[in-house]
Amino acid sequence: MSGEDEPILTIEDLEVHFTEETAVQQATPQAIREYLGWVPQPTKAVNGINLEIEENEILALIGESGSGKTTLGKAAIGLQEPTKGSVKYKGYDLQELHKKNVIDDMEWAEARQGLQVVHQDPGAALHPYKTLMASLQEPLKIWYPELSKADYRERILAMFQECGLTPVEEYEDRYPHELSGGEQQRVTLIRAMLLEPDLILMDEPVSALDPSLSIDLMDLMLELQDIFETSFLFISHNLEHARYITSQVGGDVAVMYMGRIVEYGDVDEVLEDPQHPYTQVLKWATMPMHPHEARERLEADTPLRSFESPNPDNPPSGCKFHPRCPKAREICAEERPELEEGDQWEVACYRRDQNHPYWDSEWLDEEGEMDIPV
Amino acid sequence: MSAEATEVRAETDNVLEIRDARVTFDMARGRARVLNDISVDIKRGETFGIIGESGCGKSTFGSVLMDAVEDPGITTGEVLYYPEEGAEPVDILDVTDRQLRQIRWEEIVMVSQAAQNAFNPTITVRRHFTDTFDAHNVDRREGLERAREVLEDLRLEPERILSSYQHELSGGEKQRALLALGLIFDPEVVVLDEPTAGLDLLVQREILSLLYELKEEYGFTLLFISHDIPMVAGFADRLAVFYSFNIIEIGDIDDVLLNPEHPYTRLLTLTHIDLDMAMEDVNTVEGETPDPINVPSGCPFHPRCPIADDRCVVEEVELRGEEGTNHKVACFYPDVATDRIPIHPSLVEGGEENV
Repeated sequence: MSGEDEPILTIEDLEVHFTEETAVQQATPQAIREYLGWVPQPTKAVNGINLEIEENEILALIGESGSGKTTLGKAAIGLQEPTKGSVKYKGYDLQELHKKNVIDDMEWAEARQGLQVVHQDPGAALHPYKTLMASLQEPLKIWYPELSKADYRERILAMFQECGLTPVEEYEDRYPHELSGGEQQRVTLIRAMLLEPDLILMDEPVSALDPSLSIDLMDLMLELQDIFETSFLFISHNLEHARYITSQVGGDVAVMYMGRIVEYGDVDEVLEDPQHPYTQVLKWATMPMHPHEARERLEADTPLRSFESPNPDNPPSGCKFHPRCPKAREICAEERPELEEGDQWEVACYRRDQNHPYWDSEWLDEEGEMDIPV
Repeated sequence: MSAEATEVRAETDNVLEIRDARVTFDMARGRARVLNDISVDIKRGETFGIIGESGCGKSTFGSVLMDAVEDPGITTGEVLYYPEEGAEPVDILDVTDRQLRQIRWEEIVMVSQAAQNAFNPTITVRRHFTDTFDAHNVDRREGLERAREVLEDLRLEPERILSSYQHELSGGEKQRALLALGLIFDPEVVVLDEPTAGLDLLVQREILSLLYELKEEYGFTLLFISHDIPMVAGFADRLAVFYSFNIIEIGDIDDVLLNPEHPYTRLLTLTHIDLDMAMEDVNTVEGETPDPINVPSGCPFHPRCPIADDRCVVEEVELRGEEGTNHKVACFYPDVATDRIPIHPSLVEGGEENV
């Protein structure tokens, strides 16, 4: 089942595990390792994810460092091999496509071209000794060998114009260090857009930018999406950015915690009234600008049992958030709540169900419940 | 030292008085003035917030307070430091190297952004502390005793942190260990330059809460530099808005944020994306930040200002305010700005309930 009607990306039961071994362990033959009982425990960076991204859609993926959001993003565009599950591009399994190079009329190269990425640090993503024109021609030479140099230049200058890097003739001969951070990030976006991709993974693209420049870049993404119907997978730890980029196009937001999605739904609904305690805490941690409210927020007790994330090599039992959760009861340490599938607004927390045994379970410790004032 | 503060003084008790601070760099293209004759007083014990876009001079200002502008930058002006109330001031820009080494860290300390790279990866955190004690002639054992206390105040386990190398610490732990190193000599003034940059939301939040507590407990004067208004909004007693290498608006936090009078400050509030506001109300400050070699004439904000007229292009504008108020603004038309340029809806009266 593949074809034009398929979503750009279909992620099913995706798991990505990493195994860290010392040099000694790596050098030891398998038989001896087994004899010594050296069975490495894999870290499950991504642990059972289902997602779909349609054409012309923006999905914001929110999470902290170590939540697995970047690993998920890389797997989504074929830069990371899944341990289990699959990632399909227009219905074609990326791993299978990679191995066979072509399935039906779909080529691996087409998928590669269709799925692009923009990284967080634009300064590191551009070649420091090449002019913008030289840097931007590289991918075009690979993917459009039939075109002439003049064609490349025309396309690049047209994108400069579209993206506000004007006068365009002045920009083509510049080097990355002659650009501001915001301009550099625009160039990396242009580089991805030049290949006319179906989807661009934006990995924390505005985290290093000033508020005004962040908004400029997100506005540009929205404009480009309007013209080229590109989809974006937007990774961020910042709820404000996630809301800005998705809200205006009715996009969704997925909140990740330790390899799993804990809340998924329409961005405005989720951020207005988050249901998962983790999303609620994230909203609480987002500081308001009003000085009185900000001060109140600073003086209030933190609605978390612990600030530190648990060690991913040794994850907690039950709900992964329970050791920090302000609403955790004993049952949360024993069983893991699943995302209810098929719902428009999915929440992996027992509190969603008014009749769940959760409500009769004892609080995790004497402290009982902590209030999350959002 | 703050115990003596009970003595009533008519004069305000300034810890720093900065006069005409200017920093220039000679570059191939010309002379860049990256700090343009700033004069400002910092009161003892206050939290002074500094807001502005990248490249507005706010970090340079922080460096000037410790005479730490790197070569070939040239710093001129005066930075008068009053070690304690009523004491004779010293001009930090005019002391001997020896005195300066003592003032830095023991009296005035700056914790910069990029804490992630501040530690030497080949030595333990303990060595960072003991090296610091050696450089400041402090007994190592007494010093480490104090280090443990400060680390504990920052909610860290002292022994584990001290024996760790930087790669063994999480981002939040590194940032807090660096703060502990900064606070080790109980400094009078602490300058924090984007102390939460690059950290996750919840870790940022933890560090803000800790700073808020420590500020009360240790009683230092805090200068908090950030590009993100909400980061300093809850902390600051006063706020200075930087634009084009100078202060363009300054005053008590409530005055500057709830009733900003400079067009730039007003526009800057609109760049904040609030989780409950309509996205259409979000705005950017259009145009480019000024080039330090080629600062616009008159009011440097005029090329981006929606209410600028001919006067703003030719005439230089200085900070000014009404008699008897702390609120000062470098704009010829604060009333027009207040009238014509909106501010963020969460700052408008009655907006509080909506947020």
